Amino acid sequence: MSETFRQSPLGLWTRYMRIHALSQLQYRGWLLAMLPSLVYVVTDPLDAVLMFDRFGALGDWTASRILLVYGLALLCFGLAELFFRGIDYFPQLVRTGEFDRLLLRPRALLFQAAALRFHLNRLNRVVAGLLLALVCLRAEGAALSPANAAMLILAVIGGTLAYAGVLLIAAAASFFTVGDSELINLFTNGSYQVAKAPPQLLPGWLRRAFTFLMPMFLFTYYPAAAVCGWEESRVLGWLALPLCAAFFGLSALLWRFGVRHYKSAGS
Amino acid sequence: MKTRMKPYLAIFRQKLLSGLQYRAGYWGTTTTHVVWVYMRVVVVAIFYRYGSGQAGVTLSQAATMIWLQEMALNLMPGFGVDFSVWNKISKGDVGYDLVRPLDVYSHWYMSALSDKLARFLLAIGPVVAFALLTPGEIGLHLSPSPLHLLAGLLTLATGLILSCAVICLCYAAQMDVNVGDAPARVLMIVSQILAGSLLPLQLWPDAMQAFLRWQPFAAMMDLPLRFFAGSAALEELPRVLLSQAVWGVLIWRLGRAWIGRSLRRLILQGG
Repeated sequence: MSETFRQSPLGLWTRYMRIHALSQLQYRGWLLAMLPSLVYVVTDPLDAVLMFDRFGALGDWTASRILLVYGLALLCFGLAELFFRGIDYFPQLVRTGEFDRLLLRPRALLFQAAALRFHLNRLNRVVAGLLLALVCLRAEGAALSPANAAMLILAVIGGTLAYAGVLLIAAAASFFTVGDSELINLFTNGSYQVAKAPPQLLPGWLRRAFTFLMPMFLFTYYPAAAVCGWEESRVLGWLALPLCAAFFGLSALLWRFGVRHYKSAGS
Repeated sequence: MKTRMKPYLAIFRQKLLSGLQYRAGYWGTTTTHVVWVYMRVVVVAIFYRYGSGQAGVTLSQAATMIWLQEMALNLMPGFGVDFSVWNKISKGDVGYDLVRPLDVYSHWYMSALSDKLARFLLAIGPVVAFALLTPGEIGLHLSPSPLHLLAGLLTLATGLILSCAVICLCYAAQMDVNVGDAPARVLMIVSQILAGSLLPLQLWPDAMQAFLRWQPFAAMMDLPLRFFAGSAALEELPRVLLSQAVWGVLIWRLGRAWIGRSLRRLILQGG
């Protein structure tokens, strides 16, 4: 590894992650410690499965369709949590005044903040979401041509950025309010609760909120529809990454705005 | 009696006041819960409307149970559980609790009870108001009779006695250093699900109903809520109380014995 790479934001971030991962693997019980989060992740979609078991398919919508959309959302959220976990804890940083220390270091702020925490147990969501999505893609008989695979991968990158953007907005809010921003949970964990029903059957405002405000259906439903041939425009599937990247960009601007208005509480 | 209860009443007062302290946080949390439960009800309603299968409970009964869950979850293990005891155990502050002139198990039990009750009382108002305002079948519906309402309130209260015994069992599991805190956390998640937090238990497969009714955790939340919604007959009342009493005593004794055993082996580090 060259010295310039080690000092670059990405290199620095990789080093942080390596240290975090190694320090967590030091505990002999690390595998057992991942168990609670695994149980939580695996049981979460159980209600959708049980409802399909009782009520059967909803028109075209079978369990595998719903779980594909759900799985993609889970995967993206898992990746965002894995790589941007520090942002999730950012409000604490501001409250305790620890943010000052970050400001003193001559390195990119966003990378420092994102890399401050890393929890191995967040891998549970990533692995569960990925497996679920792959199994459902098979069940739906999707043709995984290179173009389709590329679309899904780009959509997952977009989704990861979108969830990271939500976390960033919560972080930005912490510059201006001391209250715990629990509302943000509606757009993170809450977003894939909504994915347990077909978007077309949801109340209009709920569907629009999770398409235009927080673009969850944009990076899950439309790419999945394009890949599986559910009579949606393919163009919408390709739009996931650019639009989610724009969403992330906007939230990063909001965060920057917050940083400019930061008044340290420390002495 | 009065002097014996005094420290516990003080704990309750303090929990209630600290819950009220951050008003912005309180409203943020409440809004989140209301929207969250609304989304859950909407998803369930879609299955009722567009699915072809049958359920033993009507949509309005299911919706009522889901709305009430959002408040009753405050009485369950795991949901905003009192982390002060967890922290005490992992940081060694448990030593302070050992030198108090109070029995450790009773202290933690009453502390959990106060915490749960305070959270519940703070959640009732806004959630009920919003649920009653939600129009149509997906709103909160009144109990079929005053007796159903009373039966629901009674069993929810007696269910809390069981629920706090489960919480103390989680503390016991956390205290046992050989096990670590993973089993306690898993126990919390599983007990919540089996109490009906994911989905009212009557919507689970019919083949599982007998098991679901008699397992300990249903008696903490799902069985009491059935009275409110009118999805269980009043004749069920003695059976629910029996289930709560049997499981309550068993889990209470188990937790007490386990904590006692860990305390005898406890070594406090530090000077």
